[in-house]
Amino acid sequence: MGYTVKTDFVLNNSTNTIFRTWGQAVTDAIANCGWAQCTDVEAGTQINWTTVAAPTAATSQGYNVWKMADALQSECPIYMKIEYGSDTVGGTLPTVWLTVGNTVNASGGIPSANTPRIALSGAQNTASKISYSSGDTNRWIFAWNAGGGRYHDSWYWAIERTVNNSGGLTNTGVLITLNAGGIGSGYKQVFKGGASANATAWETTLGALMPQSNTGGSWLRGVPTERTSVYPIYHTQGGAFEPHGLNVFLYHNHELTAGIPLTMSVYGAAHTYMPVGNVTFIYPASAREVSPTRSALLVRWE
Amino acid sequence: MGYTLIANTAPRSNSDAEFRAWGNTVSNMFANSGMVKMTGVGEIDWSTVTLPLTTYTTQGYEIWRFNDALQSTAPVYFRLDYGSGAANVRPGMWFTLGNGMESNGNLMGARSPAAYSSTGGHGVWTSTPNSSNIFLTYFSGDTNRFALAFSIGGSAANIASFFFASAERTVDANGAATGDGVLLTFADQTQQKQVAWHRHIGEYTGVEVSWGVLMPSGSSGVSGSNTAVYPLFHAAGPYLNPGLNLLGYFNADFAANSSTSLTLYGASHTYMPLGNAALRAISTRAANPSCVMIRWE
Repeated sequence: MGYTVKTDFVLNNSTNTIFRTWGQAVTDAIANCGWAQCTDVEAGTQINWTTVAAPTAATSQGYNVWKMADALQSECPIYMKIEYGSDTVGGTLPTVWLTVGNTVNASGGIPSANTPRIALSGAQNTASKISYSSGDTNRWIFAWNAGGGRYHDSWYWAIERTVNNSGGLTNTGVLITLNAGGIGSGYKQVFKGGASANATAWETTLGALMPQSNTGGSWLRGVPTERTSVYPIYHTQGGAFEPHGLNVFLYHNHELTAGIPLTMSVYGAAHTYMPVGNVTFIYPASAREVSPTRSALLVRWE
Repeated sequence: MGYTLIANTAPRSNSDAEFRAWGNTVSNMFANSGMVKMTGVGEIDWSTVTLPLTTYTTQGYEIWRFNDALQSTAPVYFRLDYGSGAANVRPGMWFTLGNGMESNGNLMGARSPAAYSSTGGHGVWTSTPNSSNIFLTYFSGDTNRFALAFSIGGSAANIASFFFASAERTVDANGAATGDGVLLTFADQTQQKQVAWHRHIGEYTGVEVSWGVLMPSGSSGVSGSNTAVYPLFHAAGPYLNPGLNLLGYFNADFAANSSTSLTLYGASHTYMPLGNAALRAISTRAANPSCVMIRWE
């Protein structure tokens, strides 16, 4: 019963209207997934999209705080604070900041078992660009300007609960994967325990292993093509890898068509995914991928 | 019922005796593993062969074949050439794989390309001579697999002296050997390569120039009472099931030269951590110091 949306909006903060438009789109995306927005009593005064002004400096103009709304939230609470504004001089460049933890206080702080405040930002653009969002009550992906055509305008954020060896949700924590934007240096991932601080530091490369052969689907040298490989992303809480999540995969860019969803089996069950392409994530996402143009992002789309 | 040996080797061919010494040591390892050396095919004679006088020169070869139950339906023959590397005194070896053999010793069928330059392919293994030290060479093999870590043990100073090669049959999802092909993995001081070979079509893909090992970007695989090791994947387009010959690990987690038991594909196996004296940084994901352990049974 997840929610998906493909939206387009202008990527700058030049007017209040433009700022509110993209901010409201992000807010609506997670709200429609089924996450519960905290009340102002729980999380302090949150952003009001009808009155908030565009930033004119490197600052946040406000925030909202969300919590997962699934059966595991009582035993493994997950809160996510989203701040909206700009991290550039003059406030021209749209930025959101994400912080995840297991509690929230009345002033909107995420005080315990929390991640650092992560800034996600791209360059400004005067044209309307496509973003993808997908989620449910306990997972969320936002791929900002994934179809935009300029990689340095883009970022993505993916969060989901940990899973067991069968892909079933667990109450251990969350898997976070992101590209914070910018040119080639933004990849991060972390395993975060729900009841404790980060089990590991942020890893600055994705835990995906792709072949160097630039093909996952074509059996070369005369053997027919039978299938197309996609590559999971593995997180660790120190030591071994955890079972991979379902939110994001990598693929060889030329093997799937961006913007056209597909069905594939993950942990023995059929799921729908959206190839986002490599425009957004042009720098190598896989440790072994030799060409920056080859690996691309596949997001859960259901 | 495999065979393992740690031998002392001097990685140098300054004389006929030195060349024969390291070459014959390697040859005996293969023989003791249970694989079959083909005779009457012009093979090298270790009692008479002379040292190479020029670079990248083979002084002779041996043809071996697997000797397991799959050999009748999925034959694997391979040729070992013994000679020199970038200097005539540097030990060099070549490995070529085929699915059959002609009477003159030429391999038949879907062959892997032999490589006769240090940069041209995966088949050449060369080492730098070391005039004053003898190093440890590790060998582990059976009728259908081997892992050879030549002149790898000892101090960090011998990084340039080693070469490494591994071959094993492809395996199914339960880790049982299959007749599809062979997983090949190589390294020397300048390269880490791997490729999967299919018995009918040859190499599935181009040779990959890094090993398919994914490790966390931390510095240890220890979590509570568990210590993680990391399989090595070969590509055939899609990844194949990982073989059992090699595993990656964090150097700090295991003592080199001290074998350890672990469970792979649901069965207990013994492995030998090689340490980071030479073969290190095997994971491309900033997992240094990462090392390799070889099946040791």
